[in-house]
Amino acid sequence: MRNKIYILTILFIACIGQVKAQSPVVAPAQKKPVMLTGGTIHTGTGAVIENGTIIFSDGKITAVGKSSDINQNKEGYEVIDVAGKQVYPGLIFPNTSLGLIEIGSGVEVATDNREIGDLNPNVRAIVAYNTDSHVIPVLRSNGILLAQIVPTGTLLPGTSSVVQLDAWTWEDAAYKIDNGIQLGWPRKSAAIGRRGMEFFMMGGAAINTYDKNVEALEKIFTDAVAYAAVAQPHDVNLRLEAMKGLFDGSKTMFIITTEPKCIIEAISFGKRYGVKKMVLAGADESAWDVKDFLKENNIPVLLADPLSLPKYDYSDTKLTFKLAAMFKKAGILVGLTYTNQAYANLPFAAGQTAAYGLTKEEALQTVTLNSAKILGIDDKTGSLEVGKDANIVVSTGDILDMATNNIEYAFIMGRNISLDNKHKQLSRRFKSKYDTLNKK
Amino acid sequence: MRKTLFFLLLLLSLRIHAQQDDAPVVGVSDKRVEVYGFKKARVVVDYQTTLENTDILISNGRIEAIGTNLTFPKGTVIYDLTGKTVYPSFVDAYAGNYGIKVQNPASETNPFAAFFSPPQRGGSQVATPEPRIADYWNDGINASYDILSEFIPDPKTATEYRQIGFGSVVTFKADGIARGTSALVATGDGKSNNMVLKNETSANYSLSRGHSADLYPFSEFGVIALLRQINYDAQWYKQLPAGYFHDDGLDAYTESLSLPQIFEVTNKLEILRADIIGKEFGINYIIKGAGDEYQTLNDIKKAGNKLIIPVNFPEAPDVKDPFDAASVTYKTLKHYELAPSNLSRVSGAGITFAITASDLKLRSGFLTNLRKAVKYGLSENEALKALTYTPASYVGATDLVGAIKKNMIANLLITSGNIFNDDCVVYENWVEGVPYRLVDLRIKDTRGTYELKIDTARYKMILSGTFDKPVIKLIADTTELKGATFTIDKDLVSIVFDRSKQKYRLSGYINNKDFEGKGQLENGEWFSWTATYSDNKTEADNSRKKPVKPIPELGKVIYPFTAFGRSELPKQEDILFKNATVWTSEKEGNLLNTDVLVLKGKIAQIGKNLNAPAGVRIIDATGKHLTPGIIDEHSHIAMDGTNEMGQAITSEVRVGDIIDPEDQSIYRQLAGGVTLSHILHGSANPIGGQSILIKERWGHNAEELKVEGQVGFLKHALGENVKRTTSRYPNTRMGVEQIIRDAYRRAIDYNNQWKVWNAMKPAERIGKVPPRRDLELDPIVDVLEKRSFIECHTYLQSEGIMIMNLAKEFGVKVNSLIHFNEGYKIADQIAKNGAAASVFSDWWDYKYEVYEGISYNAAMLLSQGVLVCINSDDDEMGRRLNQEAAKIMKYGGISETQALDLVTINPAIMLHLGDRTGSIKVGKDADLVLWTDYPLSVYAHANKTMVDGIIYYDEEQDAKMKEQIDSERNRIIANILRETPAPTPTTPNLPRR
Repeated sequence: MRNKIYILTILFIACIGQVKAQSPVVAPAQKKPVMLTGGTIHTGTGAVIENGTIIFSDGKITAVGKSSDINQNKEGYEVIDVAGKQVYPGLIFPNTSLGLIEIGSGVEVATDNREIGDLNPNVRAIVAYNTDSHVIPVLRSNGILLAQIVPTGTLLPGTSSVVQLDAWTWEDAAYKIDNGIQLGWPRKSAAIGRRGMEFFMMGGAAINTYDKNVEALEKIFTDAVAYAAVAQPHDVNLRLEAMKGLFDGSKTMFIITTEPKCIIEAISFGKRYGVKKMVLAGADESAWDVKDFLKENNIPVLLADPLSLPKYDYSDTKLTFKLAAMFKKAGILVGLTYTNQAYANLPFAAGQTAAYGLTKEEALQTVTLNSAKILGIDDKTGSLEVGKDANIVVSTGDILDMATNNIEYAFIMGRNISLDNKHKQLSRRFKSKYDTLNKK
Repeated sequence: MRKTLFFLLLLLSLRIHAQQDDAPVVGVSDKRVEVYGFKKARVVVDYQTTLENTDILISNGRIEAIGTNLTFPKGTVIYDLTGKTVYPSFVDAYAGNYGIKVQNPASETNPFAAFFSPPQRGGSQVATPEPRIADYWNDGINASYDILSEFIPDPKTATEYRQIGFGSVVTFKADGIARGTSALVATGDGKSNNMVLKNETSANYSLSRGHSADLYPFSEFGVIALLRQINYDAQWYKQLPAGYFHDDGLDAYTESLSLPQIFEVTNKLEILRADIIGKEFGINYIIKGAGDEYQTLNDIKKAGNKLIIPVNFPEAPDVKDPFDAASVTYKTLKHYELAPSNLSRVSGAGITFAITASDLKLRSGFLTNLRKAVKYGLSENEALKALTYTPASYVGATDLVGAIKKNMIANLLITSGNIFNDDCVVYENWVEGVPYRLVDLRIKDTRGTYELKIDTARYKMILSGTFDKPVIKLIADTTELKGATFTIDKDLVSIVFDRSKQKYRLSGYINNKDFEGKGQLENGEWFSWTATYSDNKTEADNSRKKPVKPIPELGKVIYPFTAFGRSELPKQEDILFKNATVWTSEKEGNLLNTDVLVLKGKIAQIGKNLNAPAGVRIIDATGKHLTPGIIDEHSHIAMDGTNEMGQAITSEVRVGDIIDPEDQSIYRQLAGGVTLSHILHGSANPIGGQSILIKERWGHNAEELKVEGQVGFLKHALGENVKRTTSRYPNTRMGVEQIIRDAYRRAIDYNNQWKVWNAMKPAERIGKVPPRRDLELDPIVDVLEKRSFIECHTYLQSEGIMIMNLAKEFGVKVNSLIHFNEGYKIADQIAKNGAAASVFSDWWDYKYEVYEGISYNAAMLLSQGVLVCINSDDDEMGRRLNQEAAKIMKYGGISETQALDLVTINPAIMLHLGDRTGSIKVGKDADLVLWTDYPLSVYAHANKTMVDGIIYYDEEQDAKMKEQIDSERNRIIANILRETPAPTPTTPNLPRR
């Protein structure tokens, strides 16, 4: 049925001679309960259920377990046989500019991730989130169903939200609105560039402005604490208003810094001002230097791209691949993120960590349950458990390995979403060109 | 008899002032008789000879005589130098910018602003060259510059030079690529006329563009291309008929080729680069290095250049704070430790070198570092030679400076003893017979133990510290009196101390070895005192005495000089891989339970149950997968710089000129199974430069990395990257087509010109203008003549068609279309044109021209019969190319062997190496990878990576090396903490440049 729709869509496009591909149609709400039977279920809690069944209704998971333990009465269900296939929680992509940047570079007007100025806690990623971005379906078709979209920049670039990746509007997409405030902690020392070289200018600027920047942060946090104490302030200040949630625990502070001392400073800073929840986001190997501090303060870590190079010449050759396992072993909650919002490689980044120390189920957690906990959405998603949203991916083979990742079905809140995307559409379009040519 | 004659001659010259002048006298003249005699000195005549108890006679700024018991003429100012040593003053062959005004970089307009200014599309602002004088066309070439056109002695710098022992220096303008000529000048104060000892002592060059007003050359390989071009231009210019073309720069360049050619580089790799430029034109550069020569000593020795080396040992990195220490690289630590041993190693290798005071943060630190070099094994003789004879010989001035011999310039140092000892005092530096006092010769060494008597009281007095500023320690009974001070001013001394809440103030004078004098108490009461010398011991004063730093046990030099370098390079081995799953990338496909025998770097045999010949190492590959080495068809690792952005067409630049064999990416690629990489110029220019193929022979030098017998590839680029540079043509795809077409058109005409010229008989050439060798057009001619091949960075289908058509028009074809994310739209045309495609697996959307780039591209191209490979264009992704290839199974459903071929045999064929590497076939190079798992899986590790039968990466060895690196880091850091009580805060780690 779905295929037919697409063929029609393509014909339509061909008819009007439009060059650009279209984002697929958004799936309607789940009407009928769905039963996925016979698959190997990776619950995201670490458990693997061979020959399992999972049932969801009205967008929520109602049963999950061994097929033998679940009533197999198929009456009234849409039954999908997934025998021999792998079933996973939908993957979560934290700390990304997805939907905010449509084209990576060179087209300034196609970017909405960075506002002017350094103190913008009030700007909200959600209102700029473009549900029709051509990038989103590409990610979806590799199993990524949720994302934390973030404004980027220095100091206080803005407020993030969690979105689900199949929606008509940003209001529909909002999964957890305004879940966090980004804190880009200033640089204390020179950045290490390619091949271990310093960026002198950057470094110099960082050292000169560090104290000034920290002072600016101290000022706004001091004011925000005072502001939050007033129930109905006489003059509403949008910036301070936005920061209120940090002090009552309704917003998480996502700290971006990659210098050991700055990590300590930033977290101590947060504690000093009574920030309830903090996460070290975009962390790299330097976070490992302060792992004890992170553990003591119960700070989870969102690792920056594991598919990146080690920072120093003396670093372990495979350190970036190994870090997730190291943090896990140290008892620190670790999630993964990935640098480029347009590339659908988050599952493979997780796979890479499984090649270097994590078990496959633990690796899966770094892009599902762990990230759900870090983003504060683990009550709704991140694992395949009864009562949670039916955010489910079915892959022919191991989702974490590019050799076997092949998504056959994906459900967001029970909705059977389209796995079509611009790449597939364009490939079909030009395949038809060659089919015609070769027929001649 | 001789002496008498000499005496007479001397009388004649007595009235002549040491410093000649041709200017009118202003006011009352003040000429003095300046004839000096040194008596009974220990004279270091030159680096080979030292004479005891010797006299020197100086007149007219020159050495008049040297010998024992000289008879000095009347009126000679005589110095009794008993116990003192006289050295020839040092000579510095490299005193950049001495006596000239230096351009302040901050005040300059940034020539690169154009690259970053907002675009002005479609305007009329195309940059056209401004009218210039008849000099060389490029502002970085200042061959006609004469240092004396600006030189005026600078008293501040001169003082600094004198203080560290230099009497003459070679000054030149340290700015730009060709820097004109230098002069040997004395470091005295006075008129320029008197200071110049020799003009046009050398012609100087560097690889740095300096303050050139031209955008080109922007990069190091651009500079190298320009230096080569000017040499060819000079050859051409010589042959021109009169009145045809005038170029001051070429005239000057040609003329200065007869001078010593001194070339400044910023690291040891550039020494080899400079040497290669030189050798092409028969020039043997004297190279001014950076102090890291020990890191590639053998290569430098083979190159055979004479060197000028600074003693700019790095400051101890700040490692007090362990978190800060984390950002100090291994390379920085190793160099910190080994740098002081550089000169000793250079000397030990038998390389000719001079020492320069250049590159020091503070010139005053020169002697300290020089002495450190001696402590680290440089012989005193060699050190002295490198400070006197050798630099003088470089500039043909051994008859003027660098020794104390008759008729030579009277540049000498009076010292307290061996100048290489820490406690040696340099009293005076004589420059052109004029004494410059550094330390008063009359100051006596008063250090030692004394008995101080005041009335009946007895104190033990110990003077220690430095020679000219001793410090006092005063002990009454057994108690030290804190806060005592001692001041010596020539023969006078004063001492102040407290005892029993009474302040004692003593004033006195030196009497032989003792002191005596008067003192006053707080109530004004006077008393007498004496201090009697007992011995020269000062040990009691250990607390104040600087501990003699022991030379740390030094770590080994590693190749390359960075982390994961090795002190011994891995050797070629004969190896039998037993029982592997062999991915042949040949028709045979995958062979299960198969053995592969490697002999002498080649694949010798493939089969089941092979027997290992004697001496062959067996590697059990059961459960493992053996594949051909991965080939990265598009990479920018191991290069110093990426783009020459200064012009739109820069075919003249060669990546092969700037290979950096120390880039750790090489090792990291090996760790991902890569054995061969195609290193390309960036994509800023429509025609960007010649690329090079390297094998990942980690530890070998730049030349050794290059694949033997490779064909040429010329990088072309289209689209966004080339039109992005504002104010430079082209700004549109329309202009891109025209500028490439024009370049090819020019190359054809140029080639024809040469063909006509070469066909002429010598007699026919007389009076004719020969064609000018053009390094920009040569590589395009190579393409037209099919010696070199087009690699074209392409994104949109439109430009893909354009470049293929254009090539066809010129009778060639495009070898490979790189990136070509829209290739899938015209796969049939690409196949028909016989072009290959080198693409990403799933990168797209990083700019507008890849908004329709799709991950099914590779599979669709393959389906239409295009030769396809997957490349990285990225230091990181390069180490996971097996995974990138695997993605094409997912995006397009190709088979596993087809997938692996995308990064093995396909790129090998594309790079014209299909018969040598890229598959497991008998007779091919043993470039192999042993994987722990299915090689197209995210879970596979490269366990061993072999290039030419040499295992350069081994997973187990890698772990061991990491342990060694950690312990070596810890050892050096501990040494730094021990030896340097207060490390100067520095920026965390200083890069090579």
